[in-house]
Amino acid sequence: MNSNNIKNQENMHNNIKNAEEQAVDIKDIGQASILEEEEINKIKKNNELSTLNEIEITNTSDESWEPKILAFLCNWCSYAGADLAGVSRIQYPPNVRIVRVPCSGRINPLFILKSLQVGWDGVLVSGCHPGDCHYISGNYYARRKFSIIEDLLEFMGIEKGRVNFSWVSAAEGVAFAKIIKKVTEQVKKLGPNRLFTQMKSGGD
Amino acid sequence: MEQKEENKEIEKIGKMEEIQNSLKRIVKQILLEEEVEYVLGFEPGPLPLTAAPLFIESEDDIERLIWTDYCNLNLVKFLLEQPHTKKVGIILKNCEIHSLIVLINEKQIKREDVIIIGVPCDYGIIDLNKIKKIIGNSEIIKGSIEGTKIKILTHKEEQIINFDKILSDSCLFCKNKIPDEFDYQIEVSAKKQTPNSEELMKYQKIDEYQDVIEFEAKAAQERWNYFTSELEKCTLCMACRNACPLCYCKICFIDQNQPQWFDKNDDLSEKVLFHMTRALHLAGRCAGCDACSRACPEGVDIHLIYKKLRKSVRDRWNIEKVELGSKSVLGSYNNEDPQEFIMSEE
Amino acid sequence: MEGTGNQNQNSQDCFKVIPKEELKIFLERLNKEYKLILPTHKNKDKSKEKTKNNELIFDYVDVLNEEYEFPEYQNIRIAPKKFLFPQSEVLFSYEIEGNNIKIAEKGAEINNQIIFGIRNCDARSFKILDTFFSSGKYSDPYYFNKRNHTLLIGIACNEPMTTCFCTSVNGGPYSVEGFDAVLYELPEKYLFQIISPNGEKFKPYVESYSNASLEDLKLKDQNASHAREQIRVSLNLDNIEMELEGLYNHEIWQKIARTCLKCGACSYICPTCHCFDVQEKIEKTDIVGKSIGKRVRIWDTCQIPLFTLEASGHNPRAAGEKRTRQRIYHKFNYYLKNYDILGCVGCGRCIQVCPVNQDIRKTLVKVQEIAKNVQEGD
Repeated sequence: MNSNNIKNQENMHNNIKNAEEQAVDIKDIGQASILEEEEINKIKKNNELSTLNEIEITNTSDESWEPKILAFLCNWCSYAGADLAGVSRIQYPPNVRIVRVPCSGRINPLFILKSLQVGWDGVLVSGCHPGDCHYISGNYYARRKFSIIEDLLEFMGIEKGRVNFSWVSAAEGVAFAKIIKKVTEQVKKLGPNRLFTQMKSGGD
Repeated sequence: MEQKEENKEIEKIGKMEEIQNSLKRIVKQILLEEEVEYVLGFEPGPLPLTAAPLFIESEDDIERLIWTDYCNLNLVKFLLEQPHTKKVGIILKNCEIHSLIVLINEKQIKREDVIIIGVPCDYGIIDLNKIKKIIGNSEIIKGSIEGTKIKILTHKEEQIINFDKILSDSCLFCKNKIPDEFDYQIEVSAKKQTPNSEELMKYQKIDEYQDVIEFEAKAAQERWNYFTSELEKCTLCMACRNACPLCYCKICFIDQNQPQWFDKNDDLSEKVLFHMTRALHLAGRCAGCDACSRACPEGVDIHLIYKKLRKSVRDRWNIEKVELGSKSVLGSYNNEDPQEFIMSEE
Repeated sequence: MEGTGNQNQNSQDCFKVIPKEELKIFLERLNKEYKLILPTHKNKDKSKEKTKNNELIFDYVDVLNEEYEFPEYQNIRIAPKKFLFPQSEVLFSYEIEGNNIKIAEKGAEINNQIIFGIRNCDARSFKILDTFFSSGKYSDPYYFNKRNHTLLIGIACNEPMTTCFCTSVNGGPYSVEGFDAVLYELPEKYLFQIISPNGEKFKPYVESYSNASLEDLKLKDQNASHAREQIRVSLNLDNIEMELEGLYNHEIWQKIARTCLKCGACSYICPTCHCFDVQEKIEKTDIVGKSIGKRVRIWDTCQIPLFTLEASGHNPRAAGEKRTRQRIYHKFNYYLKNYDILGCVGCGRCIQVCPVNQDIRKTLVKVQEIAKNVQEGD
């Protein structure tokens, strides 16, 4: 019991560290998402994430499989929520890597699909509650986009629960931890994401 | 009974000619009276049952104009590609008019710059890919349309196929065949508009999204297998994207190289990723003209994805089609939009 | 011109009779030494649902262990180009760990293989590809590794398609150019003829068969002229290089291009189009700085703007008409200039596949008409 607690605490500590170090700003310049040079260099130096792309997955061996979940959090609410969970020492599974985006409205469907393609086991997108958007209406637009993505994924036969959407405010540290826990459990149940990785042949 | 059927078929043949003749008349009138650069229509293609886009610039070109059940492209595409200084005339069916409306709403084209000649459909457009799937490896040497049947001659045999097997999927279910927006409209006497084949009537009686509903009922794995096995055929030639008038990005996400989202090898995961993303880009905009499916040289059939997104838009926000001047579906919102898919922490 | 008029080549003992029912046995014997690429029905071994499509494709078939029946066809929709020049081909893979770089080249082991049942247009397309891949200082090892182990056994065309125009581009349904050996189909039997020095390898396989009778040869010649008559479009492309020369800036390209979708369907289906792009594919990057990747060669097409986009952002072929023009010029002008051969084999696939139903034959006719007018105008 005790050792478990210590382990969890360690995990949690790592997690906060991860969240801080791995957070990647995607500059919103209205066109392509271009990672800033500096940011890329920083990531490379830290060797935390892979080169080139913020959502490129790192190598996972199958034996002790733990789901890897990519979370896109909006800067103003959900990211702050994650931060609060951290500083409040609330425990949650260390399976999540965070990408900070300016607003949930910034989410390009390609971010989500690409994450699944490169092998992330689960994706979480989280923004401010409706009405609370820092940019007034970004999450309302995002909500329409998300519902379409949700419908398409389900229709094409991608398991429900791989891609998740939530609203987490800056004050909801507890809720954030709960959501992460829920998503992790869900994805654990679904097993590793083999949807796209199986088809990757990369030429003859 | 037999005889009646035959009579109607004769009317049908007459009808296409009637449309063609009044089109020629209208185009001539437009060329003479209005200051247009050209009028966009169709001319016969090099192979049986094919039509190619035609730019009618002078009266001499009018002779080549045709109107048939196999005018398979969405001409709006060619409107966008060409820089024009004057007004442009264009012959369109209702679904294509709706795709033009989306472009007008998105400020790509000015309404006053286009003269729309609306043509009502009676059955819809033949999907040559479907014919090719039926006749297999042989070549179509001759094809003729008789009523709701098509007679196809290959070098081995002659086949008669009913329209319900070869019409474009969207046309089978389509219930809005009369142009909603136009400057000139082809009038067809009302009695000639009712479908006269039972097989086709069947589709007219059921819900427009029946095929999507049936597909949704299948197991998830089966759905995924269907799409992946279809997309395996894709060669990423971009004919679908380039045939779509609504795909007008200067640099498509698949061609983007800063950052480069696609490895550009012909791996299946890339094909799936491309088609899913393209579908999402068309959500709430796609008018369902199916030009992409018909343009596909490999006969990949993923029209259900696009149809599903149209259904989603209808079910979620009660938007059946995009009207002139209305806000784009994903570019607007309602405070009360459904959000049952949002995860709660409980 | 066809089959060369040489007396020796046409004597009876050059033609061996393989009865149709023995073709399978013949293939089985070949299969013991060679891998076979045969026309076959798609998705034969996958789940039943997929077999709906009865399209024929070229694919590896293990005749010894699989059920196989040689099908009837005019031509196969997708050219066998992909077996020597696949749409995506790994050139080499690498592993980087710190300063250690390990490179593994792929494709050292290649089995001898036969592409069986190809038509003359496709055999000639390999000649064009050979010319291209061996041009300049270096010949392409990735292509020639496979090409040098590949033999072509063709079948003369008895029923050309309506889109065929091989006779206009120095080919013909009964031309044997490019084959190592060829079969002529007659009722109930095939006549087998060895064409190239490489084709002599097949001698032991056909020795046991009887020689053709004079009647067989007569029937074969009848078939040949019948097949030739089937090709109704005949263009005179003798001067096409010069004819194109003056039309570089002509408005015709704009006219042709404006009905074109600028997709790559025609060049991907073309048996002689060979342009490619090279991409880096990083597969895994480990936390410890180890990365694994490969370099892949993929098909590219001059029909899309990205093909010529420069790093500066400038694109010399941004306008559609320049790209449309490029396709015609490359095949009918640059090829003649550089290699003294036409870059088109007249298979007509691009006509079949075009979403807007453009016809390359019509384009050429138009070009020639205009060239004539321009000349007369001078």
